Formats: sequence, C-alpha cells, structure tokens
Amino acid sequence: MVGLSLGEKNFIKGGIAQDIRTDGRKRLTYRPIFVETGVIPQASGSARVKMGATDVIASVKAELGKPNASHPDKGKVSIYVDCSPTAEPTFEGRGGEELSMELSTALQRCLLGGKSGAGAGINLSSLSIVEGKVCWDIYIDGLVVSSDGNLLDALGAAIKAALSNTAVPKVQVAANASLDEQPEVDVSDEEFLQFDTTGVPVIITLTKVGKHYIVDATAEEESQMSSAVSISVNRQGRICGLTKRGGAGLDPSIILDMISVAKHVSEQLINKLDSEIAAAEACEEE
Amino acid sequence: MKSIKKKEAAAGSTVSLSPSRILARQNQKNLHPSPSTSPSPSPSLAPRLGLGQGGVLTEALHIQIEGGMAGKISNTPATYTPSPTSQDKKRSSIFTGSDWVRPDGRGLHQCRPAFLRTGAVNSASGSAYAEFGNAKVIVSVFGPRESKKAMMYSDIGRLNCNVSYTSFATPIHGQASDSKDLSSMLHKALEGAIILESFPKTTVDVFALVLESGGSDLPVVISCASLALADAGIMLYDMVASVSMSCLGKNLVIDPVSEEESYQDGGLMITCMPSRNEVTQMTVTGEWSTPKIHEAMQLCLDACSKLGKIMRSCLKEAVSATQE
Repeated sequence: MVGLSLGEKNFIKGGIAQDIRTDGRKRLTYRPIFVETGVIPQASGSARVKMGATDVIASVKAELGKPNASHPDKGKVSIYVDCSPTAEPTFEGRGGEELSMELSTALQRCLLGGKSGAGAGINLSSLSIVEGKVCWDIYIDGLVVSSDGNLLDALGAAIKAALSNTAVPKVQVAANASLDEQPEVDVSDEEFLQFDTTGVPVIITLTKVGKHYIVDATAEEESQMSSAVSISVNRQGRICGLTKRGGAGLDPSIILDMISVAKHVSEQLINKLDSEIAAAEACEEE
Repeated sequence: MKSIKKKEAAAGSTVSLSPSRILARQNQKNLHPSPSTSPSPSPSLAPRLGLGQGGVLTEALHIQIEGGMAGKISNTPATYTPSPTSQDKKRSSIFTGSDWVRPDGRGLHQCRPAFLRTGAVNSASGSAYAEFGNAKVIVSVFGPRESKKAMMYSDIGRLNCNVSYTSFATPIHGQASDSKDLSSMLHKALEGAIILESFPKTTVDVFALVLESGGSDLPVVISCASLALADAGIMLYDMVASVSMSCLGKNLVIDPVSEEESYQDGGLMITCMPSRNEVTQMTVTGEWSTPKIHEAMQLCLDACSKLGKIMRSCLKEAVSATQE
C-alpha cells in the first residue's frame, strides 16, 4: 500500500472526527455491497462479495466423514481463509499466513460458537447422518482476491451468502447395516437440502480512529487505526463472538459502547445482506 | 515440587507464621462460594490468592499448592479437595442440575490460587513460572537482542512470541491444541503494554512453555509472560493481567478448568492493564446477551486488578529476596 503523507493522515483523522470520510460516507455507513452466488460450480455452495474494492470469494464443500469421538451426534465444520498474492504482493508464499490465521480464527470464533456447540451459527446436529459413524464435513474456504480494508466483514458476508447457496445432497442409509460396520450411504444426485442460514451471524468491525468509531474502514483508514473490535451479532441481537485487534489498549466502557453500536448497525446490515443474497439467488436461477 | 518449600525457607519471611495461620483460618471462612447474584470477587479473591503482605506465601496457599499437585492425599481445607467418587456424579449433573458444581469445589466466582515466581530460568534475561491450580507455565524472555529474521530497519523494537505445549501437557500424549493461534494472541496481548520505542532496531523474544494444561491456559501464559518481561527489565506501561470466564448454561464461571472449558457454552477472555484500566485483548466465543457480557467483564476486570497486585507483590518479593 502506498504510504500516506502527514497531510493525508490528518485529512483522514479530521474527516472522521467531523463525520465525513474521504469517500463521503458517514461514520456508520457501509460501502455498497454486491453479492453474487453460485460462482464456483464444483462446490456445494459459493458466493462472491464486493465491498468497494474489497473482493472476497467463499466456497462451501460438503463431504462425508466420521464425526468426532467427543461429539458423535454433530457434524464438523472447518473454516480456512487464504490470502491470495493477487491482493497484495506481500501475501506470496508465507507472507499472508499470519493474516490468514487471524481471519480464520476470528471466523471460527464467530460462526462455530462455544465448545459444547451452543450458540453456533451453523446447526451442527443437522449435519449428522448416522450417529457416531457418518456425518457431513463442511469445508468453508475463503479467498481474498482484492483487499481494501474490512476483510473480516466481507468474509463473514460471503460465508453467509455461500451457506444460503449451499445444497447438501440427500443421503439414504442402508437399513440393514450392523452396528460395527460402516453403514452404506447412498448419496443422491438429484435431491438436495438447503442450508438454514437464519441463525448465521454477521460480523461488524468497528475501527477506532482518534475518539470515534467507523464501520467498514478502507485500507487507508485502517492504517490510521489505534484498535479495532470485530463483533458478530445474530438476528436476535445476541453477541456471537468478539475479537479485539490492534495493539492499543481500550477502556472497558468503550468496548461496551462499541457493542451497543454494533448491535444498532447490525440490524440494517442483516436486512441489507439478506435482501442482496435473495436477489443474487433469484438472479442465478434465471 | 519440593523446591517451593526451599524457596520459601530461603526468602526471609518478614511475616511470621502465626499471623498467617490466622489469615489462613480467615481464608477458610471466605472459601464458601459467594451467591452468584452478587458478583464481587473481592472478599473471596484476595485471601484466596494467598499472597499477603510482602508477598510471602501464606500457610494456606502453601498447603493448597501441595494439595493441587498431590491431587488426592492432602490435609487441605475441605472445599478444595476433590473426592474421587464424586467426579462421575458431577459429570451427569451438568445436564440435569441447574447450578454447576465445580470439580475443584470452588465457588462460581472464585479464582484458583496463583503461585508466581520470577527467576525460574538462569540463562534468560528474565523468566517467570506460574501455577494456577493445575495449569503450569514457564516463560522466558530473551532480549533486547539482535534478530537474524528482522532484515529491515525499524525505529521501534520488535516483539516475537512463541507458545508451545510439551507433549505431556495434556492427558493424551502429543495433543497440542492450536498453539499457533496462541502465539499470535500472546503477541497482541503484550504489544500494547511494552514501550517498543525503548529498544529500537532490536527484538525481544518471549518463549512460553506450557508444562501442564489445566484449563484457561492462555490467560495464565499472558500473565506469566508479563511477569517475565518485568523480570527482564523491559520497559512496560503496566503489568498485563488476564482472566477468562466460561458460560455453562446460565452460570458464569470464572477461571475455568479444562473440564469446564470442554463443556462451555461460551467463553470470554480479557487481558488488561489494571492500573491504566485499559483492555489490550478481548475475545468472546459463543452466544452472549449484552447484560451477561457486562457482568462477565466486570468480574474479569475486578479479578485482573487483584491479579495485577499479586504480580507486583511477587516482583517486590523477588527484589527484596536478592537484597538480603
């Protein structure tokens, strides 16, 4: 990213203090969001989300697998984000690894809930086919194609869209399977089950610049941040995950204030995202 | 560890044993779990965490450590000894009972006694050893020194963190749980507290080794690491204390053990600098309502400030021991 001069830095900070950002947005306004679903035909579900110049693709692949011994009645979900060198030349090879780990962990925290499975955005029990033997393994892969700030929100939105686009094939278990053997599972080619994504939360990153918070920061604004808090809120207004990024310390009352701001913003974002996803799905069907 | 007894004898105790026995008896009174509706760890935490005036190990804390490590045989206060038969009962009561009974008999808002010692590793610039119940961590700090990895000039210092588990840390051999993630979390927690401008062009390496994973590992690692940094003489804005909470059903449980962590519905970890009242790192997993987050944050911050005081008294004791 090109370095910023002192004048530019002051311009960004001053603008945010006066509720006018460099691209004319208010502090709590998102950039226009474009959603496209079904971009990857080989995957069970996929989506591409563009927020300004930030471009991410999420793909969902469902495969048969064996459930964890500690949770035999639940399926497995694994989330992994890859930062492509097309976004930044520094991402080549191992350069993007730290950012990928950070994004993957933050997404896992927001979407998968606690260890006992409570509060997960994805209902893991619905992924179980034969308890203790066969379950669906969902592999969610995110790809950062172009980065202009606010990657986490874009990835969260892309995963939500990809999950709504996901069609898990129906399976029929052979009825005469004995208890020890692996049961025979017949994967249907025609019938599919749609994923229930009403419980999937959205992620809102609040970036603190000076004394104010902004939503959906561009890369320039992120370079001026003191710290950022990413909060995942679901439709019922409950917090599903929170990650603080950035080194500076924050007063606890500020964090609580950020949580209430995030809840307020989330209502509009969830509605906007749902309508965009529905429009994209309708487009795809034509 | 027998070395604890020797260290206690070596560190000239400024407080004689008899007042501490009285303190211990007071501790035992306060060990009864506080009602979960009035969360204030203050009466139960301070004596529980054991290090009283001048940071000398009180009798109670000394016994508790023995009890914690021996596991079964001990003459500890009754609330701390887990009886082997009741273990299975507790497992079933998670799902049926409404109030969670903790495996080590602590109250819901009671933290484990903290044992902290600096100077554990001689060859490092600074080091610390921490034992919080069964979680045992040793951290060593090297630096500021030249780093071969860092090719570019930088006018502020660099911090490099690494957290690793020993293969015997968990009950199942070789099962290291996401230690890559922990290294970056430790880095983020500490970088806000270190005055990086004080050592330009050089790097400070922090190496944490988890000897035994007893639940709530990352908070223990963070607290121990900040103690090691202070021991190494690295300039810090403030000590960094960290506490985590678990949500089990409708109970909020502070400082969970591994069993509680595996059943938790949600977790909250806060790392803060107590004297500056600043949160450097916060992670929340699972579903939480806003009032619950408020309550959990209050409890954690209160516990962090008490832990910060204990860390400071540990450092003071180390200095006074060397002066004698």
